[in-house]
Amino acid sequence: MELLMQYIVTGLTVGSIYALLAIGFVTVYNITGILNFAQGEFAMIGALTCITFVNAGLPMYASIIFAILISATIGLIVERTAILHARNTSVIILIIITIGVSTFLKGMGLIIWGTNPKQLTPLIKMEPIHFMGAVINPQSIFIFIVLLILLAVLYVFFEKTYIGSALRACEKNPRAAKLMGINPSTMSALAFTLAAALGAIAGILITPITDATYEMGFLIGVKGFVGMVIGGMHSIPGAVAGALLVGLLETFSGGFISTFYSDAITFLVLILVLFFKPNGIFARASGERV
Amino acid sequence: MKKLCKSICSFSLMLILVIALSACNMETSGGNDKKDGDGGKEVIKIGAIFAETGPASTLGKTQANYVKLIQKQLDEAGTINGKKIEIIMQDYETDDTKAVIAADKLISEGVVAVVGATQASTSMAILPKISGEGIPLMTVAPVNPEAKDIYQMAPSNLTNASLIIKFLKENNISKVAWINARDGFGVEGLPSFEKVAKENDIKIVAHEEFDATATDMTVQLTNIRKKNPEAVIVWSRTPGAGIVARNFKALGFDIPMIQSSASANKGFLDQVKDNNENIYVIGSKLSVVDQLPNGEQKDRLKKFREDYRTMFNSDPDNFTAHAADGFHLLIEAIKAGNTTSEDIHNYLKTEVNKYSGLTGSFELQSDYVGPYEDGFSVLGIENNEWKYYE
Amino acid sequence: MSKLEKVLYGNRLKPFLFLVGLILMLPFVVKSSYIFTILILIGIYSIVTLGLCLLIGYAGQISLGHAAFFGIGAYTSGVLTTSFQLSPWLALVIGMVTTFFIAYLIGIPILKLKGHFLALATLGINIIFYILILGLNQLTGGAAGLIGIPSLSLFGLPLTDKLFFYFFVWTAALLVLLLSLNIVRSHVGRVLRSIHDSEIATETLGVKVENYKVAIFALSAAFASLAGSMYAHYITFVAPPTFYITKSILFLIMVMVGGAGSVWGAILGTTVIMFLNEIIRFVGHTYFGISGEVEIVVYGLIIILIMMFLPKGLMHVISKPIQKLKQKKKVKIKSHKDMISQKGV
Repeated sequence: MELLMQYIVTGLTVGSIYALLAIGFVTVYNITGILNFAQGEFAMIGALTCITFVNAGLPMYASIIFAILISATIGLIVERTAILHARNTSVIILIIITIGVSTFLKGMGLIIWGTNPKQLTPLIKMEPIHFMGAVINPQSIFIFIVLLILLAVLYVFFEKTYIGSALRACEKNPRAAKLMGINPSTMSALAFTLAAALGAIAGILITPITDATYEMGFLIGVKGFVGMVIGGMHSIPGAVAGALLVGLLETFSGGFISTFYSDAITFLVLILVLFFKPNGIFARASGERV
Repeated sequence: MKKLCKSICSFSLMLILVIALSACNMETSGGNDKKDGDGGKEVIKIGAIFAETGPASTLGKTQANYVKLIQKQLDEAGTINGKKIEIIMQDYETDDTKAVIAADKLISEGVVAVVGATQASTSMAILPKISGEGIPLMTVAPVNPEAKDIYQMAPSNLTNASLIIKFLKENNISKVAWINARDGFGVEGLPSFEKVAKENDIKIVAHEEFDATATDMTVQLTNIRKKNPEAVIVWSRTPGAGIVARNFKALGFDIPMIQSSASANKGFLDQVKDNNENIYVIGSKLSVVDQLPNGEQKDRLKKFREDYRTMFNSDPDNFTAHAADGFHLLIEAIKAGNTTSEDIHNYLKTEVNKYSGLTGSFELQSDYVGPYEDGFSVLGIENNEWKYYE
Repeated sequence: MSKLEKVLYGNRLKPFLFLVGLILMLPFVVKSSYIFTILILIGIYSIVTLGLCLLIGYAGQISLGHAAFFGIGAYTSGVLTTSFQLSPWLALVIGMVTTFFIAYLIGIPILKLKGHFLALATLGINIIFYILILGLNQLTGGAAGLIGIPSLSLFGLPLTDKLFFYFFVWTAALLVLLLSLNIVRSHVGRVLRSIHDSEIATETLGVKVENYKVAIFALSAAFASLAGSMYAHYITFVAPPTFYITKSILFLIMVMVGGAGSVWGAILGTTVIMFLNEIIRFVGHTYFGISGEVEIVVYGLIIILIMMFLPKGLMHVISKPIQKLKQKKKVKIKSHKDMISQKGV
């Protein structure tokens, strides 16, 4: 029982990290149809700039806000320079461009911050909590709360505001949206900025647990991506659920089968999901464009 | 506008191709020129292959830095026996294939010896190429002890293992758990330790692994806890090493944790800041220079650290020291008048007797692989600084 | 008919002979063993990218997992020749056949996916393969790698000699190229192109699209396996990181930079990318004194720029002016003839 509880807690902790990244992926994918392989890099930039500001003596909250703003600006620049030009080309070219962006940003990170892992003191400093025999890191509770808040905010943003509706319209049918006076290009810029900001938030939140290095973005990026596909590419709650599921899957397979193969098992599940429910296990059936 | 961009792009590509061809030609003609010799100052070239970038850069970056430092020192010192020493550094980006290309490039440049590579597996990948040309290779990683024609600057995993065993025996520990990262560095520690542990009646009750870039190792540690070990040994680079240590503390383990030498750096100390009782690492004495008894070893290490600090404003670690030992041994050989690969091989095999390096003393003609354990020790942490036990 | 063929596929003999000439000539010009290693690696990687080009450019499918097939070849050769003392040639063939069947079986379900989903599924396969070779360390040597793979010898000639290996690799690459060119020109090639344009339209014509896609996927995997075996015997050492997704991405970049629309693009892209790294290093070191980190940044930037401004690849840039030139010539001749005929009247 103790073990089970610990696995669940750890799974949710890891899953919520992936979920934070998955939100960014879904935002960009839904509005622009682009899978942004550089999404993980924004987490790296957010985390490391925040640490730089904190070390420079700025207060924590100001550093966080600055770091998010800087990442968002970089997201905007990336969209305006690299993505905009190639928006209407094929999937493969966009994949390669985002991979190129990822390589570029990672290189910049290495030049600026070097290779040593960097630490960030958590906002709330507390001893680990013992709950039903399991140990919980207070930061992961914090991550979970932020995740729920983000979900609520994004829900309101996408469903209740004008810009949100415009963004969704771009996803459903870009041409019709254009006819209604919505500029898809502006919306794409907005999506990238938003996703970069979300990535930065993710990076800053997880750093007290994982520490930040210039190469932190890739693996959690890929896992966030997997979570998104398992949960469903078209809905943010679905993607979050998928990412949490990936976290649980990892810890349970690690605990009961073997930690050697837990990643392989995760990807096996991903492939099985793709075969049997390509729209994600939490998605309703929908017609496909031909 | 679009047309302009296109034409600029295609033009630049043409330019690249032209430069490529000229580069090839310069390479070949350059090689020929040097063989002819031009009467002036003769240049002896030493190659270096380090992972300046890519995942292994946590180990290789300071080694690449050190190349700049030693080149500066060599330039300032002037010529050795009328010859200038030039070090050619190649970054292999943590990619074995690129390391092989780099090795070939160094061979084409006519180097007399090579220092590298940062990782053990990469050293094995370039070994056939380099030893095939009769060039001595000074690896800075613990490689397979049966490998031939390779000089190992890092303490072998057997040396490391016996240091751990000594520590375990002093603390009356007979049941240990092993956890390592799933990468080139992480997986190499266990086989040697298993061997030495068996001889000393120490039981390995659990073995777990984690991905080198994983974010949480609680599951592995929970699995370990089920087996009730008396100590946990970790074999991983940072940041993984630090995350394990933190999870270990969060789970409330009250047994010692012993980490590999890849954790004996400032980055790891910062990672486990303020929560580091009972955490030990196998570290080079370089990390605790100030606590060493006065003597020749202390002076040597201190000078090394100060030189590095003045140039890069940060501290070197034991991986830097391995690279430094490699270069120093080669320079010793050149000072003794050996300027060809063959002579250097002979010198290293026959003359290096109790050479006091930065990471321990070397006796290259013996069967002992790597430096002796006198440069290393199990270090503790006190007030967020390394603590040396005599 | 022959005219139509030319318009559709261009002349294949001339460029092929040009390439053969170039390959034969290079050893006389290049003396440095370092350039030779790069040329050999270009040959090996070209075999992979040729297959990938058929898959991407002609069948319109994407793969981010070809490093796995490359790895299956390398490890089959490595394990069979070291632990089981099998003949390298037999191991090479076994590797290719095994890979073909594995890829075929994987391909049947996986190629039902499209676009991003296909990319992700193949990526997953690559990661699973990577973890398996790390995990099966009794057989593969795990992360420490597999040492002591013998080098090849052919008709008593030891291929340890760079020159022999160079010719051997490029002979194989040319054979693969010839095969690819023939596939492209055959009715299979036409079917593949129509799949690329519209799978549904092709299906409605009564073509079993599924079968063609899977077959070409398996074939490209077998090519990758062949290349992997050669890689193992050339380097005589294999370790898992070589077969991680970064390599798959590299292959993909090579194909796209060269231009997936033509098999020639695969070879061109491989060459350009392989030299690009060395040029950045050479130029960076000699003229700007930059270090490793900056090289990565420049590399990333160049990839982005090429994909932004030349989405059809370099082959497109090269072939376009040549075609224009030809057209101009034709027009000239035609107008000349017209004039003559007019005068005649």
